[in-house]
Amino acid sequence: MQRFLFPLLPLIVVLLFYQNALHRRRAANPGDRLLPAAHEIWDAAKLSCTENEFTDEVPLKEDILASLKLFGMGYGAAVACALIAGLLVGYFKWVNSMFDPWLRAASYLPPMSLLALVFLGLGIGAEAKAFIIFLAVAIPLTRSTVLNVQNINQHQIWNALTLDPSPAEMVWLIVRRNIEPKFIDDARLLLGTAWVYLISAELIASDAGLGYRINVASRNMNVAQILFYVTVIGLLAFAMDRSLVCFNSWKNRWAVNP
Amino acid sequence: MNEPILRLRKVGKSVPHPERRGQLMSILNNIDLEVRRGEIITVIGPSGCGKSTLLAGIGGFRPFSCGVAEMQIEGEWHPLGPPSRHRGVVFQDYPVPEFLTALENVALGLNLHRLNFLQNTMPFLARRAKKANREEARRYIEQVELSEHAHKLPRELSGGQRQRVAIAQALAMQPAILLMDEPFSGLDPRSRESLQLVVQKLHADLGNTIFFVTHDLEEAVFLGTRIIVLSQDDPDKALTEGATIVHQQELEVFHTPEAKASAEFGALMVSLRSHFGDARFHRPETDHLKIMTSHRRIKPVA
Repeated sequence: MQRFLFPLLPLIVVLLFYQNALHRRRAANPGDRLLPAAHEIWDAAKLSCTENEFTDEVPLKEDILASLKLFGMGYGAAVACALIAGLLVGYFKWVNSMFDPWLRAASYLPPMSLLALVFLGLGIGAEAKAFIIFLAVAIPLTRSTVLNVQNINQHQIWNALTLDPSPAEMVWLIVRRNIEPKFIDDARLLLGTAWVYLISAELIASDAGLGYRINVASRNMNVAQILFYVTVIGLLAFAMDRSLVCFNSWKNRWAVNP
Repeated sequence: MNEPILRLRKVGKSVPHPERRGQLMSILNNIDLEVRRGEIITVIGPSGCGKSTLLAGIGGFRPFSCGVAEMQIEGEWHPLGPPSRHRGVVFQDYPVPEFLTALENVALGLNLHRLNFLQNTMPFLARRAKKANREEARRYIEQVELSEHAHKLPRELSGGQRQRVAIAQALAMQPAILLMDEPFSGLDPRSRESLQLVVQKLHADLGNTIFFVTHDLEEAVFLGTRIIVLSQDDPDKALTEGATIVHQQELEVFHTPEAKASAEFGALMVSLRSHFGDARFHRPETDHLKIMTSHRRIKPVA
């Protein structure tokens, strides 16, 4: 009971306050749109899920697809690059001396401050937005991968070196498998960051996507739709997080605590 | 007498001094050693005297800073290079890859040695060769008496069993010399003794050359065919001069653990102790006590 009911209590309190504020605002102005009632949010949701009579498109579906495409491009490229770069910089000393200082310097730059530069350089198309997500995820993920590689027990590395591996086998079969559970976990924690940058980039310059729709709705003061879209974003992020957890425990059974 | 397979001549190791910048601190100094095929050399000495540094130098993990170190591989003498399959190693903290089962761990070396990167990365390539390697690995698993745990992950095994995996993994590579760095120190007395017997049996069956570092004099005398004592000549100059071999002696082979209680074994221990002064050797039990009493944060249980 404590596990399932107690978390609901704060929610009920918030809903009560909301209901109270809603009633007072509606009493003063029946056409108020700042605090939508439950049925208005439901209507907004239904509207988002029905085909547009002019374009024959379901807005919610189009927005999710547009956002996921950007997200997939930026996040996917970032994870792949961070894994390769992290392994190389972490394992090979000479690569480390060459790139580690730059990596450290880059990690101090907030990617948001580069947003203007990226838009100027790459335009305001999908590549620019994906690139921002890429920067926001790849740099911290590479850094943490480097640290994970360097934290592997020295004796284990020495031990593996006596088993006659080639450098590529050493990095991919021993080092990569060692850090994999932590890597997937770190990538999972950066999902939130990736969403922040995706939505921000879409808010600023876009013609499709979840962030774009929120922007349009805010111009029309359509709070009901904003609330619905925020919920959708939350559910998508939650689903991604859970699926990475499941993937990790399926792929790396050895690292799961019994 | 068997042919030598490893030669160290005037070998030493210095590292940057931890406190005085720009100065070197010597850990090992002027070590001369010849290891012959089929020997079990046990290396003993006070804690921190450089036993593990000597082993790391021979393994190529931390190369010596001076002197000549050579090894005979297939009839030819080669200088000791970076780590290779000719020098297998077993560490105290059993660092076998955690993500492979016991059997996969033993087969890992065979796969890495015999297959290329692509074959090792793609599960569907070279299936027959991998199966053959697994069968071969199973034989080594049997030799260390671990058959019924072959399918388990290292975290599901006890310390002693993990150390058996490490030994089988190293043996599967058929190294010219097997380096063991205090391999049984972390184990309870019973597992330690049974592993000592495993090592003895493997040595009798396969005739491996073993370089065995320990701080337990009893273990060194029981296992070794030759014992080497590593120590600083003059403890006051320890920081500047480094440790060297102060005594070595051939040992007779004791075949059963009961021999540890025999008069000859006792006499040998006494003679070795008296030879170097008892104070320099602490047996693990007393070491442990000393840590317990000197550690202020540990409060005695009422």
